[in-house]
Amino acid sequence: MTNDEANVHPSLAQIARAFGYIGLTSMGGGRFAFYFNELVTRRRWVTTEALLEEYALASLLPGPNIGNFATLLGRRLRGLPGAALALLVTLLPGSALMVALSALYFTHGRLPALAPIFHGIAPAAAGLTLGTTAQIVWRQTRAPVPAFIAVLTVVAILILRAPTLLAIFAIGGATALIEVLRGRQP
Amino acid sequence: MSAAGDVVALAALLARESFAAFGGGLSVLPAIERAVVEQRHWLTAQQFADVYALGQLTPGPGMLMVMGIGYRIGGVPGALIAALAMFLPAAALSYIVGARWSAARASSWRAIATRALTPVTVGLIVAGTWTLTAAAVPDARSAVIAALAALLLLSGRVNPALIVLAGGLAGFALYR
Repeated sequence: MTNDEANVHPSLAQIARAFGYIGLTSMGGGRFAFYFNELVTRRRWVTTEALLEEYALASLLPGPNIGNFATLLGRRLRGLPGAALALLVTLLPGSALMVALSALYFTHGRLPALAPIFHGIAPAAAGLTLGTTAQIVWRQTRAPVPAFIAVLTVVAILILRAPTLLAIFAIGGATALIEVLRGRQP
Repeated sequence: MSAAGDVVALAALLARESFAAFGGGLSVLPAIERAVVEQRHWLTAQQFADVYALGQLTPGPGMLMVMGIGYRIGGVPGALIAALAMFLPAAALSYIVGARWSAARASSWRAIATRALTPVTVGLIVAGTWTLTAAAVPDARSAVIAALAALLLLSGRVNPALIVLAGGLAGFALYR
């Protein structure tokens, strides 16, 4: 069993459909929101906690975050074939479009006139991300301690401008250490 | 250097930079630009910026923009090799670490690490959402689009893909 958080084992065809759909529709930034909405809200394949755990791993590991994230989620759902397929179909729609647009661009030497459309897609995607983030905050930070740690992380990154990796190691490490020390008390 | 040699050199550059990309692909974009534009002269600075914009227009990971560099150097095969070099080695490492992480699910240290990492991850996502929204919402019209999109999502009745498409249509109508 690779999906240790739930007894859900989608078939490879189902994985191809779900991740391919995300690959095709995740536009304008905030790709994480599309995974949450498809895999947690709509299909219920993974829990919010499991998604956050894989996202933390994807952020800690080097490389493009969303590629790593899709690989980790595919692995959780169906091992190596699941990981390979999830990554492939996440990249496929955008790759096809990127090749087509590059061919147009390097032939004609200018960008297609898509800027007005993108000016609408970007805030819509930001709105989706806002809505998704609100759901995650509501579910995960109702207890005071997790809420405090989350706020500390936001302050570290947005106000103190700490690098992501440093924030994860410093705040996550301190939290884990406190927990271990408290656990050892008689 | 031949086109094939250049494609191999680009693949080596991207694979190396992908392992240096902590915190996402954007963190190594300046290093890639330096190598591609200033050292190798594969693309002009304007072409690099335009290829980056194309990556923003297409669905999926933004780092698919490296396919534009690969296409310039070696056509469709060059584009495919660039994508593989950017994504595959990092994904392989993720797979191995994910499998180890999963195998440790009974251990108490993993439970502690997960409990400590979850609220930090929530904080990362909130900070990322703030940065994204600040960049995507420069004026009142876009703020209305963003607010409507968030409300439609939270209503639970509208498909996220349709919300993004509607945003694109609104953008076409408002910013033309």
